[in-house]
Amino acid sequence: MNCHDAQSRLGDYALGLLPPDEALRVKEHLDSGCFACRREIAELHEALFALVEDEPLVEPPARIKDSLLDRLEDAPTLPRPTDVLEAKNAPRAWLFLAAGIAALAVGVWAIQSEGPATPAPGQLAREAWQDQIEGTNRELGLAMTNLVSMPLPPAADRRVLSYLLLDKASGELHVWVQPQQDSEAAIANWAWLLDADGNPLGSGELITKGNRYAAVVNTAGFDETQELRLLLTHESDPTGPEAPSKPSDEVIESMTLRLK
Amino acid sequence: MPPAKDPDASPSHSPSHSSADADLVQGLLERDRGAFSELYDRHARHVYAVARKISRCDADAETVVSDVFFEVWRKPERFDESRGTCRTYLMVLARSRALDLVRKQSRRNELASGNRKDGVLEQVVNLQAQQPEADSIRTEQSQQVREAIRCLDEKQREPVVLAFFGGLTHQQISDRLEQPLGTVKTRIRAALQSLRGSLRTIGRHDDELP
Repeated sequence: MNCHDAQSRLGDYALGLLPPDEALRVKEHLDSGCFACRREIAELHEALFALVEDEPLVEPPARIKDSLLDRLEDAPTLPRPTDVLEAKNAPRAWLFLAAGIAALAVGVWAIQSEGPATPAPGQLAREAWQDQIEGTNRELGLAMTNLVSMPLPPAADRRVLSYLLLDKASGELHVWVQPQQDSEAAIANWAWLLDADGNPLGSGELITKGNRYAAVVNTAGFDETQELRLLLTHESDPTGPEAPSKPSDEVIESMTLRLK
Repeated sequence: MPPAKDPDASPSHSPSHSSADADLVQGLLERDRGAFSELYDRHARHVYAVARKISRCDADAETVVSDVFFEVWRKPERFDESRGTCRTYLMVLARSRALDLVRKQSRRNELASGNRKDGVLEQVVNLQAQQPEADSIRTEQSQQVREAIRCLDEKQREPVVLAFFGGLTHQQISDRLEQPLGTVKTRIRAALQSLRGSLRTIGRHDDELP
């Protein structure tokens, strides 16, 4: 989205009235660093929040601050993904990170219903990931899906940005790929899920969705305790009469998923 | 860490305040609890006000305040000065969290159907009668920003407030106000044009200052 198109949508964006796909494109424009649009959205927010400041301001109960100061003691300082990548300094470190995040995020579903009265440090970390999950779902406008991995920040050794979202209602895994500039992943056109022995469990064609590619892979019948491998490949005839039955040798990207 | 200040002692949008906020955020990056405490004292009332206005529930508003400040402690690097003041950033977070909370609790339908007597619309009606005495200590620019939205026609302001603080869609606003959908869209568009025009005027005025 260029600046002119974004400008015409900033008001509705500030009010939360844009459809999710348009809101995402405006957000991407703002994230790209456009100073004029950033300034305008900041001014709009300031003016709209002035409605709150025109009412008498009430001090929140003192116990909130007391409780927060107590929580700071226990709050984990989450390693930023970039820090992990730099520390590992391995070409495919992000793949392991993605797998770890996936396992952690899936674990949230089982743990969050227990609801302990005092959050433990581990729970706080899970809550932090859950925040990111909800934020990404909002960003992509996918209210009925549950993220099982995270969008990963740009890195020199990474060829794609991927979102993995599991639609619990339909049992489908949504694979979102955003090719990096000058990336080989621009030619990936098929997503595969393989078992530990390399046998295909499901696959789907990567179809252009704006500046991303997306594939939907049916996961019905999967054993959720097993380790899966996600492959992005280039298939020579993706639109042929029959879908490819096995991955080609042109593997663009590969990562391990541990669902439990 | 900078010395502690009375949260009301300096206007919310003055350069010195912004600079002090930047210092406090830097303090958070260095895991300085004193900086966190001062940032909270400075902005908690505004965050609480946004949360209360949206949730209409003190308990929910307290949850939002706690979540927002804990979030900024965990991820202070997310604050970006180029996208507005620290206070605006915290209020944007509060709005997002409060709307999520309301939606999760299915209160949105109540707002849309107008069952709550203390809903957003009534707050809009009451705004003019609740001018704060503290206005006298605020900066001229903040006054102008407030004036810009205060000058909106009431019929334009109602749908804007329902969208921003109620999280309602065009259709829900139409149902809530019992006005045609096209009329709601037209009024929101006119309100935004008027608001942006006023803000540009303020911006030009500021740019002319020495």
